[in-house]
Amino acid sequence: MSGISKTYDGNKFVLNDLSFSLCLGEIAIIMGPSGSGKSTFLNILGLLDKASSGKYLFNGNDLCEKRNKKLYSFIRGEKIGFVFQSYYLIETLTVRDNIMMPFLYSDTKITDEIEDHISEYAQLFGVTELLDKKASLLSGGERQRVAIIRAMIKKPCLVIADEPTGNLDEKNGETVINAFRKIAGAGTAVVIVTHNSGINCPEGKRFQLCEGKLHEIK
Amino acid sequence: MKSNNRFVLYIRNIFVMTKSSKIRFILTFIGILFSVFGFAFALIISDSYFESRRDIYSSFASNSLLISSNQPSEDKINLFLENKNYSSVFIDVISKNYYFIDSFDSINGQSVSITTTLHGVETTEVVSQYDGMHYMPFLSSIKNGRGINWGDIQSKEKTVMIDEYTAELLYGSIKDAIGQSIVIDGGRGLVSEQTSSSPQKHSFIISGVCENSKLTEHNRVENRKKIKKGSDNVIINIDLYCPISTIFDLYPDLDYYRNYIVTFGSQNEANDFYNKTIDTNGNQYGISYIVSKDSLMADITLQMKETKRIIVLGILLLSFIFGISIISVVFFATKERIPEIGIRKAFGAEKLDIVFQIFCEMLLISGLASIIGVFAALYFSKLLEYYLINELCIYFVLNITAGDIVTPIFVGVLQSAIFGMIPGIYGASIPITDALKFE
Repeated sequence: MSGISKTYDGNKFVLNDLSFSLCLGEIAIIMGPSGSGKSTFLNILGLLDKASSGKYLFNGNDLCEKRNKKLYSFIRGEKIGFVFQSYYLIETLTVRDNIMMPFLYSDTKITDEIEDHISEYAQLFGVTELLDKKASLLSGGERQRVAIIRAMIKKPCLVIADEPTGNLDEKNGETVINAFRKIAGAGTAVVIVTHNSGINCPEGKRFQLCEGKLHEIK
Repeated sequence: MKSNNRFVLYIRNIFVMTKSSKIRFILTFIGILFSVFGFAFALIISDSYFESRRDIYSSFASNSLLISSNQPSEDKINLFLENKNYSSVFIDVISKNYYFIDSFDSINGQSVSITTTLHGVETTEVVSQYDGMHYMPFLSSIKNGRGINWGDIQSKEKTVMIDEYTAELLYGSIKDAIGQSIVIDGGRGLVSEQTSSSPQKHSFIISGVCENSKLTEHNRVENRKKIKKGSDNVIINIDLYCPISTIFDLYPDLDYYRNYIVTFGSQNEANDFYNKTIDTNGNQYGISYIVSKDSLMADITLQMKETKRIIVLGILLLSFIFGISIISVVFFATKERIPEIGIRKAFGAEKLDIVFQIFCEMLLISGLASIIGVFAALYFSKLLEYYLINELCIYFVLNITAGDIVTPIFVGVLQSAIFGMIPGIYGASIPITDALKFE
């Protein structure tokens, strides 16, 4: 993306002429103080919100130009996986159905292979026993891990994670980062927004969001 | 449980989400249940009522006309038939008063009086009975003995024909009734001594028993009920058919008002006569009223249409009122679900997917409520049928058509789909970021 600006009131720019690019298989770690526009940036990156101006190329599609709601929904469903800071699980559904939710609105067939992936991820993140439990019964840490599995289950092009280790202990936090590194190794681009500067991801590009612009930290 | 099928996953989602909003579920369910119940019940009862009437009318003799005259003599009928070109005409003159026959003590000691309506007939092929609104002509056949014939009419015989039920009521069986005498204004048996102040008594010999009409079964139930209830003054009315000439001879001043059943040789002749009594404005002149099988059928069809129109209008109005309530309830429930809608949209759901999901949920609730509502209507219709027949002794045959079941379900489902989708569209239109943050 280049020249991305976002204003809510027409005067104050939350993002101001921001440029950012990421290739498949890369990890970007975005840091910045509260109110610096991290969430706005993630929303635009994840096609949850529109930029006021600028160019956004996603897999060759100029999304700012097209403004096609159907295309946005398609990309969100097929190409992007979200890990929200507040997890956003659907409380009344089971963990398994929450994980499967991205498949509800896509043409991707639910194969046995996908079922195996769920089991695999569930084992990796220690939620195998919780698969048939209602999401409302989970603790904060468990919810976060389920949200991460949900984001990764379709093997999207881009995973956007907002504070993915915020509620996890050190061991589980490390497991999550390793999982992101693993899917990046398999070709998925990962964008992580965090306050935690100690994330162990040497191959990740680090950025600081400040005054509406992203600065890469070398 | 593995869920390797999107359809199964979708259905499970619908079920879970339908259950999760309890207030919406309960209130919408109750609203749809009552509206579908009311609609189905009204349709079933009105259909059954009109079909019951049609059922009776359909057994009418189609070439007979019921004529009510305010003229005191049979001359009026002859006047109607002047300059006629009809092949054969039979007249049944029916008294409007009941004549006393007898009274006896029934099993539980109460007094049961039997009265009769006198029919002066020219033929016994058609018998007529009162259904609470009109005398109705039915085709009939002789079950025992013989009917009234031209010899009886010419010689003014004091002979009567009764139906099976009357024979059983008065004499125990149709066999035993033949040859018995029946005294009008005097009782069963011989004519007792008369005084100048006592009413004229006339004894008739029962010559034949004809088959029961459709109304007889109803009368039988009604009379049995009257006796069973144990009320003090039980009056049972029967019909006696005697030669028309005998009636005019014995009762020259019978009643001022009379009913006539005129039976023509063919339906065309009956229609021709009927049309001649109606003026260009559609009014009947010279007579109080005249009805035919066709006119009764047309009347009942018209009434049925009118009633259905009123029911449909009422249901439309009620549906609208219920619909507003459904909008409020679903709107409230949808507001609670806005973050969930945001999550679904974040994972690829389009606005239409969200609306469709809410539509499916409403479909599930309304479908369930509609089916239960229709079953409740069927059950209560059955109860009402039992009550009308056994308690109120009203001729009523439950008539349930596919339309009585399908239409209310369709209306109930459509109602919830239309009114339930409006809040759904509102919820689905909220931008994702706002929806996710919605409190």
